[in-house]
Amino acid sequence: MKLSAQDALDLATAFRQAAKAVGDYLYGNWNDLSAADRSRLRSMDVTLMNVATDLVTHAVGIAIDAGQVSLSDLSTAAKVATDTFQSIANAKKAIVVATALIGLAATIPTGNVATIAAALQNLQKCTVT
Amino acid sequence: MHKHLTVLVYAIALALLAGCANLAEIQEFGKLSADSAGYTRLTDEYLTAPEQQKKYTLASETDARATLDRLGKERLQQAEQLKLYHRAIEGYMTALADLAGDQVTAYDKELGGLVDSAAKGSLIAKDETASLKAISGLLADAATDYYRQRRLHEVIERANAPLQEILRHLTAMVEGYSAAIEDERAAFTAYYRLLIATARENGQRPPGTMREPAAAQLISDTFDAQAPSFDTRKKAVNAYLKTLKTIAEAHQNLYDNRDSLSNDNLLAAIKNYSKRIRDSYKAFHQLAGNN
Repeated sequence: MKLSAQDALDLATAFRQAAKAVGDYLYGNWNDLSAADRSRLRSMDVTLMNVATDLVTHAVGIAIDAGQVSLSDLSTAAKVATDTFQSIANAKKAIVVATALIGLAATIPTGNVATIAAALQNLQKCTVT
Repeated sequence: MHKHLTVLVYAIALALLAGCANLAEIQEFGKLSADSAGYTRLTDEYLTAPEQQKKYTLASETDARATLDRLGKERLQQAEQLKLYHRAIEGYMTALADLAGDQVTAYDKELGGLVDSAAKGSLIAKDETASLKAISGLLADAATDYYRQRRLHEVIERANAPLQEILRHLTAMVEGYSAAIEDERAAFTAYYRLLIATARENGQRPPGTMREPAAAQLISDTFDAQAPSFDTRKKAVNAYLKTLKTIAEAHQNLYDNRDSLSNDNLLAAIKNYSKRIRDSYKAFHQLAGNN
């Protein structure tokens, strides 16, 4: 069975508690212990704590690996959102053109060539920008 | 002609405007979520925790120090991947906010200028300039609003499953950060217990030998002064976890109601989620800055 991130964190907690129990024994009986025993118990205490730290690193590593596929899927969704945002900008530009067309349409019934030409120029100006 | 045109444009604009929605709540939610997801100080603390723990070992404990060096390197190798998770959520939420918000204003000025120049060239009546400008703006907004909502629906639908997964995994990682603080606290406590026990023993030596009667008290004072910082950091992590949970809930709510994104009840709920995210954001910022 594969270890989950939560399993690794639970194990880390167990090792940390074991380290604490060793520490409680060591410092609770400090005066009665030989220098060699103190040193051995301190070493066990530190080792157990480091096993906990190792397991925490492992837990985070498991979580990192587990989400890789989702990372790529979310990036795709973000790209769709960004592309759409750009499309809206383009759509607004199209509306600017349409507004110029409205201006042009308004000039046609006047039959005034100069006015129609000016409106056309106006339209051209906004389609190139 | 102008009058007919204006009436026609008014009619179209009003008809479109009826379907217009103010999605400012979704925009705000996206912005706040992006800011929260982009916060990586807690990640940095996790990455450097083994180095910190090394300070709570004795120079003679070479094996333990070597292990912590190795773990420090392993965590640094995780750094880029961890930040990728933060960036992925930040990037998506920024895109969501942009899409929900009316940021596309670059052409509004152009539009105004165009109408002005049309008036100047007697293409339209001068007294109609202001209303035409306003109507053109409304028309642009209304037309794009429908498209925006349709696309938002699609984006939220597509993003929800991976986002929930990523938030779940990021939550597991942040729980790892919390455990790393516990590791550091355990190493800190054990180290100070050792120092205090040794100092007390030295303080009890017979007069005339190397006695340090005040050392145990000084070390104990240092311990008491530094110990609460772990609680503060844990609180910051908890506030961050709360933020991630709220982001997940809020997006799930958007997903569940993606067919009616402009619904007042939904927008009120999203506004409430945003308030919670803002409060948690302030909390973890303040707590992380205080240790």
